[in-house]
Amino acid sequence: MLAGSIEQITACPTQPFSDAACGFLDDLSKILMHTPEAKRFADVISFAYWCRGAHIGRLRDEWIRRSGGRLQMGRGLVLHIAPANVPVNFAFSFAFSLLAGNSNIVRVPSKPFEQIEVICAAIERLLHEYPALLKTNLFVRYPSDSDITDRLSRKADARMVWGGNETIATLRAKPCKPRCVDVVFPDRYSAALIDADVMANADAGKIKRIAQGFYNDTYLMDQNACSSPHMVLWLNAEEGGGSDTGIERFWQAVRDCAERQYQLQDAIAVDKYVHLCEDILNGLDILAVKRYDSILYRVSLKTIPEEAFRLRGAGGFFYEVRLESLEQLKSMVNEDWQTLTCHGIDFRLVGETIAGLNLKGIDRVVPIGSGLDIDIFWDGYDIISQLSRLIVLE
Amino acid sequence: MKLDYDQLLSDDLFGHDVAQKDAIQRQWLEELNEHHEANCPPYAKLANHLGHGFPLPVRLFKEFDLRSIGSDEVAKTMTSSGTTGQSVSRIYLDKSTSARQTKALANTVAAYIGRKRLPLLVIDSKAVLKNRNMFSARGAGILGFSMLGRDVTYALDENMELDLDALEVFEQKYAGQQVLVFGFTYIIFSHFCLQLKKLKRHMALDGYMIHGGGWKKLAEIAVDSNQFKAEVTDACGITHIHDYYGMVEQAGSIYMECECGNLHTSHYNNVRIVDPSTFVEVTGKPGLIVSISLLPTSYPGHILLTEDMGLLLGEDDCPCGRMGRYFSVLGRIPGAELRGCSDTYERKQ
Repeated sequence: MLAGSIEQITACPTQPFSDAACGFLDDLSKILMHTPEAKRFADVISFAYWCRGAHIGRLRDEWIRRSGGRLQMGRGLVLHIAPANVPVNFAFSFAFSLLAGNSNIVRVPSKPFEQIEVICAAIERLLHEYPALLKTNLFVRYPSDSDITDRLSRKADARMVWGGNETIATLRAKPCKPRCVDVVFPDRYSAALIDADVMANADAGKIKRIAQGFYNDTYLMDQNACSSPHMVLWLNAEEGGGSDTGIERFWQAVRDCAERQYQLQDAIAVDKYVHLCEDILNGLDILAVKRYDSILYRVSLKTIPEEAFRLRGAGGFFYEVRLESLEQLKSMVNEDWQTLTCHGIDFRLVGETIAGLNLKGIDRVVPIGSGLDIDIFWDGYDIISQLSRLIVLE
Repeated sequence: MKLDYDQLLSDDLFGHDVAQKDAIQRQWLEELNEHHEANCPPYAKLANHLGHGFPLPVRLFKEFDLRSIGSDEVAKTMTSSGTTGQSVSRIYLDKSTSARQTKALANTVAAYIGRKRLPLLVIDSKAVLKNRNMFSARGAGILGFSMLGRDVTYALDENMELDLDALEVFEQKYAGQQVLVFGFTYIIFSHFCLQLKKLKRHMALDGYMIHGGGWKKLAEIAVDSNQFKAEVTDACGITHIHDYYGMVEQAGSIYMECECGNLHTSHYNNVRIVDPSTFVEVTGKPGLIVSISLLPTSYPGHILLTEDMGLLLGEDDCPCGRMGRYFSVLGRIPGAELRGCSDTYERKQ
């Protein structure tokens, strides 16, 4: 147990964005911002920045505006299963659910990430100033093969599960209450969409900023987060045309970022090389391969791949293909597609394309550099609504 | 004449200096590149994107059928000894590649223990050889070395326990004579040395031990080369102990440990130690081992990217007098730790 009290845990739903929840997160933000150990971790600081009072206040105002005075309440007790390899995801999962008005049992990753210690210490300290929340929130760590999840599952009114498809399938199979709601975050696929002409006409500083954003979306999480692009889709890229310079300059800038900032593990370098060999032998329709040492691999495709969602890289391994028009998304995008990070493209146009082509995928269209910015709208869910119930007063 | 193996196999194994060896091997590798590009379509596809003479990852033999001969010419298929659940390498041999490997192994071992066929004690169980159609790496190693000795005796029974009767017969029969003992490093240590020790039994053998298969398991229990040698000498009296580094993907082309404790390249093979982050050769620091063998023509295994880390120790100047590169093996490349929420990506073994 890392924070909270196992003897006292009770479910006590409230309305979303309660004063206690908002105040708690604001205080948590302040504590973390002033904790010297927290400053060593960029991810802890981004969490602290996300849950600061001003931002939560904005989310609350927007919620009030959208809900139009309807009465909503948290569902009760939410069980959170956080992903094994993302240190601070558990904190976001908890915060979303707290804001929705729920009591929480949060299972943090088994790996002893320091970020978890820092955040849980702050939460533990703060819970004692919020007696109502102390009784309704618990942070635990236990081995994944134990039967504790089974036992907790039976108590839960909702289960928030992050991780791969297998983790989710395992959890889904566990018995739960008839009305228990599962909000699950399985493996997803993400890509970048860039106007090559716009890139060709950008100045060096601009390209550097975009490349840094692309680096942050991908390499920062070893390209293994669900919202990290695996493929770059180039619009307005005429083969042999002036837009080629834009493409080359972009990749060169990404390479520069990665060389300065990315710690490439030897095994990942080998895996990237083997992965390329496998693609070639599996008959992928490759136009050209460009390797920038082992730090960056570019596999340019001749044609739009049919099962694009299978084309995944890790640690700086990207596919790219030229799109003649946004309509070509139709043959590529399936329900696995989550995030499209874009540059030089009108977002409304992308939205119209998603609707016009009746696509089953793409839940987020965001600027390059914002790929990993998690929020209460995620994976196509309005998480506050998912984790609360609507009361009809007629 | 192209790919003249009669010439290669009759040449001096350790007699060429760096300049001569480079020239000879450059020519050979060029011809082997051409041969495999012409006869193995998947290999040609790879070369098209990765360049002539690219290092082929050994892992690919587990996932793809890579051969440079027709399926009717396959004389035997070697497989790596994968543990349950792991995929295994499949190496296709025709008659000539297979014969060549045998000859090369004999020549290499002779350079360390002499040409005479010695009585052979195999520290393993005969049960390992049961399935003759699918040679495992362990079985292939045993069979390969069996041809170099005579009166082959197995030291372990089918339960991997000491066959004390067989050991006694062997010991008495060859008392005062030179013998050869062969086995896998970990099996020798745990099933032979430690068991004899438990029984307080010391054998009095004279001759040579050749062992291979890696140090991973022994490193886990903190046993190094010196300690291993001490245990072997204590258990059976043998003092000439040679480790070797080799792989089923390049059978016959082994790197033997010399009297000075260094692994040696020979006329048939070579190593390049490359920086994983650039794949460029490095000296003076550890890197991935690219293993070169001039032997295989039935499958494209002449330039392989291993997943082992090694350190180049020198070239042409080992005090043992053998020319060529010598090196040490540092163990498998450490596994990757990936961030991210997806569990679809797993490092393949």
